[in-house]
Amino acid sequence: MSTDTGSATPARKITPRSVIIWSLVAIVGAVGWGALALSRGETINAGWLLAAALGSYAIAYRFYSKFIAKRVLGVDKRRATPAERINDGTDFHVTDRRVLYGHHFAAIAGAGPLVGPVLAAQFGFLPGTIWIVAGAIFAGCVQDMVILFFSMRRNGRSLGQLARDEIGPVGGVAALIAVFSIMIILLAVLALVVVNALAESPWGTFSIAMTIPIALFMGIYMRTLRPGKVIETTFIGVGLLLLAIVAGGWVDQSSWADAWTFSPQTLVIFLMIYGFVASVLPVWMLLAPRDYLSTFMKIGTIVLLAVGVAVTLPSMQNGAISKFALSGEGPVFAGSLFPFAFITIACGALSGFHSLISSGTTPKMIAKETQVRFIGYGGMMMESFVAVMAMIAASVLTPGLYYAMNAPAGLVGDTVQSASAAVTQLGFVISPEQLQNIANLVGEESLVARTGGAPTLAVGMAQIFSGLIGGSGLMAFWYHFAIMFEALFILTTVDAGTRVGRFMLQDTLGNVWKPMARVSWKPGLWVTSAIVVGGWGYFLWVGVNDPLGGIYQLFPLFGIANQLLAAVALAVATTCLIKAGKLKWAWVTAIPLAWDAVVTLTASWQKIFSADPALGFFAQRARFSEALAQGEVLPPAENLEDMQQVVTNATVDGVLSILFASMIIIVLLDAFRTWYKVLSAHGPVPSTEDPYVESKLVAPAGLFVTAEEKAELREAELVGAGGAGGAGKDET
Amino acid sequence: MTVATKVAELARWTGWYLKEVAGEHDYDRYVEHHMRAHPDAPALSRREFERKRMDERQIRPGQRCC
Repeated sequence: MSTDTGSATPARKITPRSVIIWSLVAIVGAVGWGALALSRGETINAGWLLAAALGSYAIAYRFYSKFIAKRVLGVDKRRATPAERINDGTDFHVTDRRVLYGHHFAAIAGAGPLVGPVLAAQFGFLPGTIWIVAGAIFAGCVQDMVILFFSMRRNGRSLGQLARDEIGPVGGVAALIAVFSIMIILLAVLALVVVNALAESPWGTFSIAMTIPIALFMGIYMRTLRPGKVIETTFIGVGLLLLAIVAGGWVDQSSWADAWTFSPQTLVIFLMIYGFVASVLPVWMLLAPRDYLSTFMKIGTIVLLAVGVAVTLPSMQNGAISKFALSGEGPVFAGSLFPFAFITIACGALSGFHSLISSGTTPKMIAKETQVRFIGYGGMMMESFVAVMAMIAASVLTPGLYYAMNAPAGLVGDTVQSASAAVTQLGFVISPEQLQNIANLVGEESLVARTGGAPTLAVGMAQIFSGLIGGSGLMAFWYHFAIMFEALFILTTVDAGTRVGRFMLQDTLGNVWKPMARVSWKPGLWVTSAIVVGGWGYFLWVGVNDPLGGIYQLFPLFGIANQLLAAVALAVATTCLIKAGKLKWAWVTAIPLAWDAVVTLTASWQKIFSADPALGFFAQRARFSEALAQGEVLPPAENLEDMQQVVTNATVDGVLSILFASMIIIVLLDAFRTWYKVLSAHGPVPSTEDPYVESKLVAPAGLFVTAEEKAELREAELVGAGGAGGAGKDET
Repeated sequence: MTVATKVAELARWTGWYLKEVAGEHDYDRYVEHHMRAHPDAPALSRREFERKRMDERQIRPGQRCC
């Protein structure tokens, strides 16, 4: 294959200096892991966790990602990328690598890496942290980078198209169903996180509601007064946003407070109306300004959190491994460490959803093939680091507070007294007075059973931030700042996700009845939007009303759906490697695929067949429907209506689990069939890559420009081919 | 290089980076491209360009992940 010519550049000599530096990095990482592993029974400083994670990332990026780029993929800096070849000024255009990194990271990072680790903290901080770091290094970063590469070699084709072209039509259809169903479950679970964070909280609800007029103002400002002035507008928007958080505190103390206090059920209705209206409005009004706002808030808050953790170096109250890791009787979600830690933390370690971004806009904008390492592998590494910080923020809380906030209301009741008693039952300590004090400190009525991860993370972040700026007097501000930050980008995801789901639906329905596919046809738009909103709205409604707790029931399904998509992506990647005659390197994606399949299928198996009613959906259904037939009421249900609700939900969730598991099996079988066909055929398989075109561009591969690249850039300038044009300035 | 010039340079670079990520420089690039490709046709004004770009986004909303 012509692709291997990229590795023809002379290998750089190994200098004693680089040996010393990388040995030191390895020692820092190893000492961090050692300290984490050996600490028992006492609190441990978060600094060790940072050292372990950062040391591992550095080593993995330097060695493993380089190996994948050079040996496995054979990136070729002399081969033109689609951005250079097609350069149509709209989709395809050459983009500076650091700018594209920003775009790519903003697209892959969301609420997922923040919520998952918080929930998985019920196993202790260590299992989740190991999975976040090792999962990212060996699976998540690899998936993002490899899919980015294969899509780039095929003119930026989408994951669905890749699955159809490389695996076959059956795999393609399964991929489409996977994408659509993960979308619905994802939107429902994320919306549930927002509802749980805003219910009965006038401060939070007011602040979040204010983001709608702020976004509308920004949209009109950019449309009419200052076209194209995005940064200026965003700064005004962020200023207004901070004002809205402060004003939320005033509302909370005023006579308006009651008018802004809503039950979860009312908030679900509001969210569904918002989701529908936002998705049919023109993008410039709401979606685009909101997107700018949430992206900048996201980056800003992540940087602030990193600085906060690094400066205050908090000690972690959560133990390394909790008793729930093996017993599987944790109150946050059912099931033991294997497989559920690996399902709960999807984003941050391995997220199938990223393959949609890696095969979406990013491959159409990449300037050089060599940059897939920095953008694909490096982008996911940053997201993994965000997940590590979320784990730290959740572990800063005492376990007593953590369980009082994260166990479902059915278990902890709704008063500080009942929560304190329930937490004692679980084997942890928190007094009713302590619980009330912390709630008062962050300006909330109550923190009992505030499931979904966002409030827990917000309390942890408020503790870290207030250690940085303002002390305990600013706890309430920082708490609502953190809630705002999460709710803001979840709402942006709800809007964008509803639109993406609608386009997929329009596209599919268009095959049956032509007018449906026309994106400008209003009635078609309304109907498909309503179907998508109805889809996630159903699960959201079911979630808030579930007597067993919506997060407890639905979060594992979301994780399974996300890992199902990862299985599709990794199967596509392995197929591409085998077809390219690189069977000896196929383990790079085949091992993560095998791991992902084992984890996801084990989790599905337990969710479908487990005889434990807390774990298996059908065992749960049987138990509650038998009791219902006798006219009995089983706790936490309070009446027969609740009982009926549990039976219906368990049935729906069980059927969905079966659907997801069958999709994985279908994709895997179809991939095996293709591998067998390729391997038993003698001679090479026709390549699906676009033909080789020589690149005339010179651009650095990584964040920093190497001496060799500087020389190339200088030469390109002298020749005057306009080589570096569009690739941005590289003054150093 | 003094500390002050380094700080100024960092601020300038950050400003360039933010505007680049937000796509504020796309219009300049478009005009440049347009002048080269169609020297006799007038280029769109900034307002027209930004509207057209927003309307295109209507058809392809940015994918946002979890």
